[in-house]
Amino acid sequence: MTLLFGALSVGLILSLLSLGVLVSYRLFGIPDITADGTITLGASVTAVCCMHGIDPFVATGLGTAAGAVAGSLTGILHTRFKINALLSGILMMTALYSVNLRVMGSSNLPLMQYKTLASMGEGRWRRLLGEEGVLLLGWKVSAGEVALLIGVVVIVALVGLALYRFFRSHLGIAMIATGNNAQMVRALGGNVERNIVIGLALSNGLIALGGSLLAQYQGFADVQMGIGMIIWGLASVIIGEALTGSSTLGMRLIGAVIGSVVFRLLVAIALRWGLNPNDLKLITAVFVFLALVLPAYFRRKRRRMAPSAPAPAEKAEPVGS
Amino acid sequence: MIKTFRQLSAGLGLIGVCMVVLLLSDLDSRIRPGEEARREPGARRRVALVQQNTQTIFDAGVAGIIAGLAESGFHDGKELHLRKFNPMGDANLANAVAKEVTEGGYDLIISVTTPSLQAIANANRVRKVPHLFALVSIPSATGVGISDTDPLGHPPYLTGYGTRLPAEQAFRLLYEINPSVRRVGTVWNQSEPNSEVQIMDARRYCKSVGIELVEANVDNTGGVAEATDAVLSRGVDAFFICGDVTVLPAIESVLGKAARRGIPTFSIFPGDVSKGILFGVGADYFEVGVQTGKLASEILRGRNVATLPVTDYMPAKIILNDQVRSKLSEPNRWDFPDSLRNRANGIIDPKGRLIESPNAAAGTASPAGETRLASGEEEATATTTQP
Repeated sequence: MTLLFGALSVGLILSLLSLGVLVSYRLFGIPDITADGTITLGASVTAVCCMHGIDPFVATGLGTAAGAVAGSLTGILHTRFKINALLSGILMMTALYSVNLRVMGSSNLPLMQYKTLASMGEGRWRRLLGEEGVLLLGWKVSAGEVALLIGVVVIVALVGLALYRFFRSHLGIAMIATGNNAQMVRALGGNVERNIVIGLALSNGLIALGGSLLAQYQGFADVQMGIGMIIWGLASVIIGEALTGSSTLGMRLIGAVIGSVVFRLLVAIALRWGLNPNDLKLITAVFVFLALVLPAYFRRKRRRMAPSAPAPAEKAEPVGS
Repeated sequence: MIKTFRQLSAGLGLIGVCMVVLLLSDLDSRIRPGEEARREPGARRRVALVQQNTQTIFDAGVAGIIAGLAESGFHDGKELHLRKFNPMGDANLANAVAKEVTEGGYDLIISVTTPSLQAIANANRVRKVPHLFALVSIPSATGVGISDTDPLGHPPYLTGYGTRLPAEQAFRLLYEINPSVRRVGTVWNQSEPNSEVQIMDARRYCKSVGIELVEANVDNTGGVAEATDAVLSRGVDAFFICGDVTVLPAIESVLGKAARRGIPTFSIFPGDVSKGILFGVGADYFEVGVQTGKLASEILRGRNVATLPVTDYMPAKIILNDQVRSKLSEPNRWDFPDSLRNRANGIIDPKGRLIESPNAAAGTASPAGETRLASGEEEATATTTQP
C-alpha cells in the first residue's frame, strides 16, 4: 500500500514536469531541453533556502521562480539571438549544470534534518492520525504518506486549474495561437517573441516546481537528479494523449497528469514483481509501449463493432496483467 | 460531461487496473491483527541489497557482501532470500526502490553507495527496518542523522561502514617518493560527490606541503582526453587519476597522453596499476563488502543495530609499478624508497610481472567489527576533519 502511495505521490509530483513539457512541446512545438537543468535548479534553490531556515513555502516559490527565469532566458536566446530552439535549450541546460553546482555548493544536499513542506505536512498529520498511522484495507499506512499524497494532490489540482484558467485568458489564448500559427499572430499584431518567452518561463517554472517538490519529498537534492527527466516528461505527455485520445486543452492537461501517474505505477509494479534489476528499463519500455498502443487498438475495435453503443472502457486493462 | 468522462475512462481505468495489480502483488505485506511479531523459526531471512548504479567498484562491493554473508553461513536460496535492486542511477526509480525495500517485509536492508543510503534512510523513517550501509565516503555528511564525533550517534536501526577514498594517502605516497614535486595535474567531474571528497582532501594536503594542484573539470567521458591534454600542457610533474566514474572509463587515453610526455600517473585504484600507472593506493572494495556481509550476518543473528558503531573501514592496498617507472623521462627522480617497497602489497617488475608480497605492513584486512583502520597511513585518516 505504501508502495502505491509512493508511486502516486511521485507520479503526481512529476506530472508537473509533464505539464511543463506539455506547454513547451505540445502548445509551442519547442522541444525544450532546459527541463533537465530546471528540475535540478528548482530542487537546489529550494534545498539551499530550506537549509537557511527560510519558510518552505517561500523556498518552493523561489525555486519555481528560478526555473521561470531560466526558462525565459532560453526564450530570449531563441527569440532575440535567433538561436535554434533546440540549441537554446541545450545551451541553457549546460549552463544550468554549473549554476546548480554553484547554488548547492556541493553535488548533493541532504534535507532530512531541515524544515520542508514534506516535514511540515507530516508533522501536522501525525498529530491528527497518531504516530502509528492508519490501517487501510489491512495495510498499515503512516500518517506521513497520507499527508504527502493529499498535499501533492491538492498542489497538482491547484496548478492544473490555474493553468486551465490561464490558457482561457487573453494572454493564454494568444500564446496557444502563437504555438499553432506564429505567422498569423504576427499578422494580427501579436508579439510572438514575448509569447514564446512567457511560454517557456511558464513551462520551466512548472518543471522547477516539480523539482522543488521532488527534492522535499525524497529528502535530498542532487546535481544529477534531472538527467534524462525530459524524456520521461515527453513520454508521460504522449501516454496521456494516447489514453484520452483528445486534443482539447482540458483533456491534454488531465492526460499529462494521468500519463505521469500511469508511468510511475507501471514502474512500481515492475519493481514489486521482483524482476531482474538489469531488465527493469526494458520492461518499463515494454509497459509504456503497451500503454501507448492498446488504448487506440481497443478504441478502433470498439468503433468497428458497435458504432453507437457506449462500450465499457475497462477494456484497456490487459496492459497491467 | 458524459463525453468528458468517456474520454477519460481509458486513462482512469488504466490507473485503476494498475493500482489493483499493485495492491494484489503487495498482499503479503498486509498486517493481520496480532500477527505482527510472528516469525516461524528456521524461516528464510529476507534481505534486500540495493546498489545505486552499475559500476566496477559497486559491483565488487556487492560481490563482497554476498561472499561475506555466505562465509558466515547465509547462502542465498538456502538460509537467505536475497533480492538485489539497482535503480541504475535514476533518482525516481531509487525512491521507488527505497519504498519497496522498506515496505516489502525485509528483515534487513543493505545499501551500497551514498544516494542509496539517503533514499532508503528517508523512506525508512516510519518502518525502521534494520539498515546496513557500505561504500559511503563520509557517513556523517549524508544528512541521515549520523554523528561525526560519536560512533554510536546514529538512528537505532541504521549502521554501516564509511570508506573514505584515500586521495590523501595517494598524495602522501607521491610526496614520499618524490618530495621535489611542485605541480600535480588532475581531471574530475564536479557533480560526483566522491570525486569532490577526494579533491578536497587532495587540495588540503597539497596546500600543506606546497604542491600546486592543476585541475580541469569534465562532465562527460568524451571530454576527458581534451581536459587531460589541457592539464598536461600547463606543465605538471605528475598526474593524479581521480577515482571518478566519469574519468575512469577513459583511463586508457589519460594514461596514453601522460606516457607520451613521460609524466607519471598515480591512482586510488591499485587494481588499475597494471594498465600503466606508477603506483596506486586504495581500498579493496571486495574486502569492504565481505566485512559488511559479516556484520549483516551478525544483525540477522539478532545483534542489536543500535549497539553497532558507525566506523571507517579502509583495507588499503599499495601496488607499485617498476615497469612504468623505467619508462619515465626522469626515472631516477621517481625511485621508490625501500621503506615503501617493503610496505607495498605488490610490485610490478620491469618485465611487467606482478610480484605480490602478502606480508606487507599496510593492507591487512582487520578482523570483524574491531579495528577498522587498516591503512598504513593511520594518522592521515584519523586527523582528517569532516565537513
